[in-house]
Amino acid sequence: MKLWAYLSTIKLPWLWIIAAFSLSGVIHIATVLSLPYVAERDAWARLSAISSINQFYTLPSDADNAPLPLMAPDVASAFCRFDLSQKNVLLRPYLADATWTLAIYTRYGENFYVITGAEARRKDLRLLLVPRERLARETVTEKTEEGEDQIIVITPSDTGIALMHAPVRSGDFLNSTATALNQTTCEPQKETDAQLLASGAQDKVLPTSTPVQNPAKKNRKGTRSYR
Amino acid sequence: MTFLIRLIGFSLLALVVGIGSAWYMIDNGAFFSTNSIGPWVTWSNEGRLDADPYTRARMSRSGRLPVTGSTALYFTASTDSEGESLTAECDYEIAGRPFNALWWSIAAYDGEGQFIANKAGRHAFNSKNITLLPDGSFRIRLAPKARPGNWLPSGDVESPMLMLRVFRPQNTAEAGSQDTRAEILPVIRRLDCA
Repeated sequence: MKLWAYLSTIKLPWLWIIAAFSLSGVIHIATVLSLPYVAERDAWARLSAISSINQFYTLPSDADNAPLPLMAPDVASAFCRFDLSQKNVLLRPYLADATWTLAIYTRYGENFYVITGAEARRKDLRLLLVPRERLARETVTEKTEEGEDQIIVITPSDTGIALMHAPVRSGDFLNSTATALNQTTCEPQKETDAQLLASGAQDKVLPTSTPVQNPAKKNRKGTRSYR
Repeated sequence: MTFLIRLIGFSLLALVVGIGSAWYMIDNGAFFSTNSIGPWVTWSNEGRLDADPYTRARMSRSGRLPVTGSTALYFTASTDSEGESLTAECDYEIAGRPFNALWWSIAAYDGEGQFIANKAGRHAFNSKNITLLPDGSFRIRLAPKARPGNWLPSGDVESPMLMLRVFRPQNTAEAGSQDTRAEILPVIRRLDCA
């Protein structure tokens, strides 16, 4: 009671204090929401320091050079930072084992697609990354013009990271496995004949007798959307 | 003058409480973003497109690239099963049974998430290289000095931490790490301290 009596004699600017706590709530929300966009040490920034766009690189995982925190010491990894702003990107991973995994992330590290060797029907895959907004005006199908199967992965953003994981028995196997992982390719898609035709460049590639399909009709046929 | 003092106090209080509380929740999680199972903590929605803002902020800040829950589960521990912080001054026994999964691993890191340098070059045990006991269970000894069996060096770092990865779990969780049962996760017991 004495403490309360003492405290009641102190005149505090309660209105200011209440206003400060209200403002702190706004600052709290703004800090949390803005952090993904201002973080200078997120995965994209860390990998940008050691890589160029649209190329696969082995991710060093030795104690002195690990570019990302909490990396698995017994998982070989290779990555590609892709940029779809100009062209779609073609990934050709080789999933040699059931545990080998290809995970695809947005630029902010959100994992929107993953496929493991256990799920894949074949070891050598062909994945075409297409941004959502471009899908409506492009011809993409699950069969290439050469008849090869391809998986269409619709990306929520133009930039992102493809990451291959391959668990190994011990760190001694990291280098050899990483070399195998590094055979994965990540490159801008070469324009298909149909795309060239659609863009009015028929004389560059095809004889005029090649049937031109209606892109609007073909657009959604055979495409698959992945989370 | 009084107005100026109040304005400065108002601004400082708002900034410290606002940024401090955000930082705390991003670092330590909250009831809706993390799930604690014994000493093991998991961020329920990490890596997901529909993750809550705190999880998204944490992922950006940490720089990690986790695979989402149905393919891989991640648990971290920075305390023993009694809730005491892990320290390199003590030996710990991590005891459990192999997971029903394609692959799993338990790795040790320093407090910043970097590998702990050691002459053995050993940072983890996994389902392919761990030595099991005759009853099929495993015991890992987290200790600064060499120990017989599955010795995981903790070096001389102040606050070691552990990460358990379970890849393609079969029955670890029915619907992601939220439903993981405590009894299938390893127990971390403190043994001797220096």
